[in-house]
Amino acid sequence: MKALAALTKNEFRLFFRSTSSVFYVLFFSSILLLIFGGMLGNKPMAQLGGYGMVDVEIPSFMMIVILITGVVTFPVDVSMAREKKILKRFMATPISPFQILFSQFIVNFVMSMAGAFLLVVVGKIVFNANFYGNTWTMVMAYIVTAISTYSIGLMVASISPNSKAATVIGNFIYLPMIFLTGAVYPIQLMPPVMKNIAKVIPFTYGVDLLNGGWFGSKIGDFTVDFIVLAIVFIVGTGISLFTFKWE
Amino acid sequence: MVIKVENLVKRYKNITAVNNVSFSVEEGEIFGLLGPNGAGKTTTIECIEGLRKPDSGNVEVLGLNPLKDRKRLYNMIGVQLQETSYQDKIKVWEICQLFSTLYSKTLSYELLLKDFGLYEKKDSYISKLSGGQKQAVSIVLALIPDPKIVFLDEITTGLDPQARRNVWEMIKKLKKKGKTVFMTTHYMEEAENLCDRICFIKSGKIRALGTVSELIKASNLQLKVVFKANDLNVDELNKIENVESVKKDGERYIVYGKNEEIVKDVMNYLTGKKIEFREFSIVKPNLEDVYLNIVKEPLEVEK
Repeated sequence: MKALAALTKNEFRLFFRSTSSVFYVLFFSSILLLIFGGMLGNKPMAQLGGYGMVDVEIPSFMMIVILITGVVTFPVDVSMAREKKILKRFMATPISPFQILFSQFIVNFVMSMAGAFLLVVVGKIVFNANFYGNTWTMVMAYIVTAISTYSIGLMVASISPNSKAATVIGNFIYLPMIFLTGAVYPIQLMPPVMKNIAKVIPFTYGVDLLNGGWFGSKIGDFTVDFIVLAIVFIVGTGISLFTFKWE
Repeated sequence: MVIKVENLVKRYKNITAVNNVSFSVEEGEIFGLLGPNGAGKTTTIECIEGLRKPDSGNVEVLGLNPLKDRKRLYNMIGVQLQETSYQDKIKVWEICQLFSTLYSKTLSYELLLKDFGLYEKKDSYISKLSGGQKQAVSIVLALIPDPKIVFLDEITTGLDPQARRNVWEMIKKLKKKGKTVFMTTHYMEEAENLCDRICFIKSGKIRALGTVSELIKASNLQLKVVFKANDLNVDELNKIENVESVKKDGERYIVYGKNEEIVKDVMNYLTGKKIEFREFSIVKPNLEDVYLNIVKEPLEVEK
């Protein structure tokens, strides 16, 4: 535990020394919310079931934070540590090298939560956004979605030969996903073709779960989301287990 | 005996990187694994460190199996890996402090940093250090658990000559502290300077093993006397006692001898005949000659 705490503290330190990580993880989604909210306001819209645009965007934008940390910064951190043979160096110490991966997971996860929290704060203060759900349900929805997404990130780290490849693959997943899953623009407003595309993308169910948490839907309404996210988790972790290399 | 390697074999796909290697290392010595790039040095050292699983053979370090007793072993050995870099934005003291939390008992890293001339650099980012200073950090990190054995894999590769000599001094310091040092290198001069015993490997096989003088003796290489002179009878030189052969290269003469007596004999001949000579020198066979003799292939020469 002493080692894990020290490793995690160190990863936090490194996170805050990386300007781009701080910007993308902590501030990017809030800036996006300011832009979208500025353009569209938060007036209730019939197409959005009577909710305002900002109300709908907040939980959706959480998916952006989860995707940035899950499939970009987390896998890049892991593959960078492997590329620099840092993982290998720690293998020659009494601790389990899994602790390094775990510390990188913790830092990305905690910082993504901070980014999501900032998003809510900005929404509340600037646009007087409404939260209709239960805080703990919301947190649970966030954790489930994030863990499922991070397993795909671990898979990206596993199949990438180096950190450059991880960056490319991560962005290749992240960029289309934020548009196709309704994370940037609500699915309700998309034409039927796009709605059907969204349906086959697993992360859409993460956006749906986050929305459910935000608008206070009953847990029972999200059985499909849970099942899809569980399958994603099993596939992501499974492929990682077989393909991950420490050096 | 602190390290025992018996019939070690390690294959990668269809290449046998280490082919039936056996040797042992005694407590307190500097043991050097020497060979050209791709000889199997790193694979051997990493099998001993427990970072690679041998295909067959036995490895014992401080009486432990490195794969089965890794936790106990890593509290007793210090490791520097070839080409490890650290995160760019981590400071010297931070990485030292981090490593200090990984072991059950540790030495003060502040004292170690002082000892290796890095204390003034403790607040610098690792990425801002010179190559030699980075390697010094690697040594300090290896020493944090106060290990009995220190493993150094090509620690001076890529360093400039001055930095290399600084690292040599650090390695000598390790020996003075009573540590056993197991190192790999492809620099002859380095092995000759530092190692108590040297193991030559090439293509995964041991070609020679012993102290520097043992290796030179065993290789049957001859002493050379070299000088320049204008007019000289090669046949007469050949007839001098103890002379094996003579080579003439312009006005330069190289006389190979069976033993050190030839120095006196050649000198007596030259002065006796009143032959004028210049640039007289005696060349003893060194490790490089031994190496070339064994491996028949030049090593990387220090730039």
